[in-house]
Amino acid sequence: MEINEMKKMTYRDAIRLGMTEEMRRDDDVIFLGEDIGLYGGAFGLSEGMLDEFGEARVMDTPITEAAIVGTAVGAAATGLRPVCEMMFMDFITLGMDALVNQGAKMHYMFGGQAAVPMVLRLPAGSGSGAGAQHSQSLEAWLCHVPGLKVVTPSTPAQAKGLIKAAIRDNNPVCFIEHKMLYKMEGLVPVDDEFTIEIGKTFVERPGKDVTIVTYGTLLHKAIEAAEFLAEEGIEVEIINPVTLYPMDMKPIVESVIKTGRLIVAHEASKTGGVGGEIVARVVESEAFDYLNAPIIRLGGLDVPIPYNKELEAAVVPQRNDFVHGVYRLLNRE
Amino acid sequence: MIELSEEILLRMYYKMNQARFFEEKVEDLFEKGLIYETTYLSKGEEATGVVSCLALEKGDLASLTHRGHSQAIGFGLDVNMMMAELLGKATGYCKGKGGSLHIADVENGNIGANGIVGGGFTLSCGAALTQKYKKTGKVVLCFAGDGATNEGSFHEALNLASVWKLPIVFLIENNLYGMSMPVSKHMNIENISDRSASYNIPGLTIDGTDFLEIYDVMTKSLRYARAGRGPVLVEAKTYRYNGHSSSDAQVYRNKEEVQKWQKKDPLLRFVNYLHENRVFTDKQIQTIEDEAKTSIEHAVEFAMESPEPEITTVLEDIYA
Amino acid sequence: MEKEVISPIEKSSSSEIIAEKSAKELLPDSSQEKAQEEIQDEIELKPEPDPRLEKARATPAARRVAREHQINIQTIPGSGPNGRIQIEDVKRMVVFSPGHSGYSSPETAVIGTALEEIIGNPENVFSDPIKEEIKEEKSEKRETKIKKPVAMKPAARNNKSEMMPNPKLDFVPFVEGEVEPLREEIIVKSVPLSSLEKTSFEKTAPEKNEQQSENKTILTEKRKDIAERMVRSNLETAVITLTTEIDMTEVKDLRKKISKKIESQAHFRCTYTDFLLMATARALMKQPIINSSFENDEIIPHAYANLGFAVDTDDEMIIPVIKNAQDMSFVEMVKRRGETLKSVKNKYYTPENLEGSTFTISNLGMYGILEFSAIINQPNGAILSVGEVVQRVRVHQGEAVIRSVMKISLNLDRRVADGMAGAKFLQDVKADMENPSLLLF
Repeated sequence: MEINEMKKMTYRDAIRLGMTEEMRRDDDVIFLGEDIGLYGGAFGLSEGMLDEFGEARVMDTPITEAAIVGTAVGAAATGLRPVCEMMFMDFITLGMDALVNQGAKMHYMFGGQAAVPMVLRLPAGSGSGAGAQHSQSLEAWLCHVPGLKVVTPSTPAQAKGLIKAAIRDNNPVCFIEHKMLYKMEGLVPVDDEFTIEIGKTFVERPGKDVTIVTYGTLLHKAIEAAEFLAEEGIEVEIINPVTLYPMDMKPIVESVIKTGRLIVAHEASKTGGVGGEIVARVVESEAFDYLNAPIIRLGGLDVPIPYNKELEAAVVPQRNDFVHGVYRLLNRE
Repeated sequence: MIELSEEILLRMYYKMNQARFFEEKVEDLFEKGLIYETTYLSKGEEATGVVSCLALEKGDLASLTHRGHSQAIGFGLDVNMMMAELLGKATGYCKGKGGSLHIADVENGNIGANGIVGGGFTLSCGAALTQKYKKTGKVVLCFAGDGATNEGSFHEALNLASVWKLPIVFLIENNLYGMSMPVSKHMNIENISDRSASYNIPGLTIDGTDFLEIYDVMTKSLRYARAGRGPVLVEAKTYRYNGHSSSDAQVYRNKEEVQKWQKKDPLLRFVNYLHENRVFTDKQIQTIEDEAKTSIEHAVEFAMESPEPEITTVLEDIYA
Repeated sequence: MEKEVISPIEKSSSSEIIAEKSAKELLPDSSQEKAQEEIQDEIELKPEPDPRLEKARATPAARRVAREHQINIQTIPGSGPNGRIQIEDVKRMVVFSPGHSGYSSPETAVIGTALEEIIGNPENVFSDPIKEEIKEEKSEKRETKIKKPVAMKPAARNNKSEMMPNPKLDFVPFVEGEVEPLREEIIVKSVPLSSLEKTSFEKTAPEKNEQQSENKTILTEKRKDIAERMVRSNLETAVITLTTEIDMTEVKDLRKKISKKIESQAHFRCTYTDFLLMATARALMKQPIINSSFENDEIIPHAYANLGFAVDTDDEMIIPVIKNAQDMSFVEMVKRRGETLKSVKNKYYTPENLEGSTFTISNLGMYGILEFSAIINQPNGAILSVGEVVQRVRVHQGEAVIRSVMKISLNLDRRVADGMAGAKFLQDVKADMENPSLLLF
């Protein structure tokens, strides 16, 4: 189908539109979470959805994360396609058993019986002064669990395409949405069959000098840095994995073969982060022999996210960190 | 008291015998080193496992526990495939990938035994939500042990099931020990069914060795849940003859206690009932027992002859 | 036991060997301590060996290309941080090292064949593949040092970007004119070099040798040698010349300020040459390929800068060498340069003082020469020709003002390095000379 018509909307509206379209398309899709009904979601994401779909499909739950996730797994295994919202990604810790021990493993552990087509929406990231228990980026935890899929959109169009693909996927998909992107505007395909393939890595900006692999809000900081560097004649290739697990490494490996230089960046704490995994896979691949400089990992500091605005910003890599990283790789610093 | 037909009694007795022989065979195979995984035997708990499942209607669902062989046999799982799974064979329910802890037959409503104590409560809520949403009229029977009721998931699940009026019957097989911890030490109430009060749902405590009581209470409870009135919590007091797992030295209890419970053995009580009420002749009873025993021996043969899974299957079925 | 502790580490490339060793063997506390003791014993006997010195610091990409072309990575000078060898360093070797076989890049073909084909247009190097093939054929006929020219591999084309002139540089490398006239021109220039009437290499040098050679045309044995060497140099090398202008005003001002202080410490007066020697030594460390020798078809890069500087005495031009210039402070440099010059003037030097240069500087500025092109002092890969410091109107900080400027030219053996490396070298020299206070530290 031709994807021509685009409409400008926010990241938040794009997620809502994606969910709404899927709920209209498939009666088995239900939506559960805390304060998603009349309240419209803690971030206003589900405003108006209760009116359209009613309480049977837009289900306010008690504050009971373990039961929300477990219920979603059970419902998914028996024929529904639940989408559930953790108010903050941090709260997934309370639902970990159902996700990790039950949902992720069920299909394999039962020898191919029972699909678990559920989506866990996880608002993540710092930048809102929400403090240590409401600002984490815990994607690396989820990427460590075989059976889960972990995706994270960086633009409104990606948000719509991915939430729809996630709902249609027959596996538990962790959909990590960055809180600081909710108000970001962008053009989104109007087509209700528009989806973004899960498990596909995207080249966001072509270049030949240095490869930057990043996702989430940092993608935008990387693009800013790339624009700055372009004025100096440095062409940075930016790659957004979009699907963090299972990750499509091919475009990353190809890019590193081309540039010989790699920066991997994420907001989450550096130690044990997804970046380390990407780097390890690059080094294991044929790209190793093309590396012409040490790899740089930009990650969040290994600290809980502090409250103070300046301190909070200091934890997360910024645009200049990308610029200096590129300089370093090109021996310009 | 609900009337029991000869047919249902026959099925009950046959399956309880199957369950008993199954566990004895597993114990035997484990000692011979043929079963890889440690096993959690349900000898002594045949009545709760089998009889409660026989109270289900066709299409109802069940979530089992780690001590789930009797429950699975009661639910109608094929003993051949169960035994094959325990031996890790390709013909097992999970193609050798699950083992005793994860025997499941999802298509037929068994959403799986669970290795996580307390893991099944919230899954049952989900399965029940599907029934409610799709208006199937089916009920979920959620098995759990006494220890699991101290998990947060028990309370979250009961609360959610209560407020959403989900069609679930929670059946707690209270075998008096959470591994080695006696109930008196792990909770400060006498009956687990008391916990239902917090969620404003019916809570009942029954004798888990008495098939008549189990069948009666379960049938009524399932009817209550099916009617859309919400979940029910049933506690059945029972006893396991074996240790928690095959490595349990059972230092926490004495032989006298085991012997006391063996006098109330559910199979013994069943056969006494059959004799007293002259339901079946001795010969018929003997035939039922023999048939059950043969079926398990066949299951072992089937499992032993079954192929090991291909090594390449290790990468299959990660994603649906 | 100690041996077993060490052996898995040495063989760490083979993971199987490690896997075979039990964890106990790999990490035995007691034997580790023993090994520790042994190491300490060794320390007492000889200085601690640094394992890093034995291994070249090189990126995987550099190692891959070196492997593909059978180049010993240890011999390649690294231009990256801490001397790290990068792919660019190896590619330079690949392009100009005739020793390797089974590989030929378009650049090689051009170098070995006709320079006229690329005169005035360095981008001709990147002509289409068909042309390149023709060039390769020619190269065979002319018996160049490329032993086995083969069909160009696709990968070789990717190397092109390495050769692209950078338009952002404030001077553009150009290819020297035709071979024949160039040779004559330089010979003519070179003959009077040592027979000019001025006796001092340095304008500011205190001693002046009053003696003059009587006849410019008499070729002494030494002169013959020099001439022959130069002719050979010109015949054998494909030379390009790069020229840049340096604003010397800062050096001039700084020299005025520090002159007395330096003199008190070094017992010699500091000169422009000292600044230039410092800047050159540092730039050579940054562009080690410029600091290479070319002998017997081999490029030998050096990790040290032994600077030869041409001095003409009464009857000959000699090139004394300041060794390990890269480690010298400014005061040391002034002292060494002064001492060297003094000993040359007094003919108090041994052949050792004239050997082992890795790079040469020739200064004709004191003779009023603005810009010239010295002949490479083989086996050096390059020579720097220094012109006179003159007053010129230049735009400085947006205003037209009188500045002291000096032209320097780098003559570069194209078999050793490409114009880009030369350009970077000159850029480094220029940058240091225009911020000369940094040279004092």
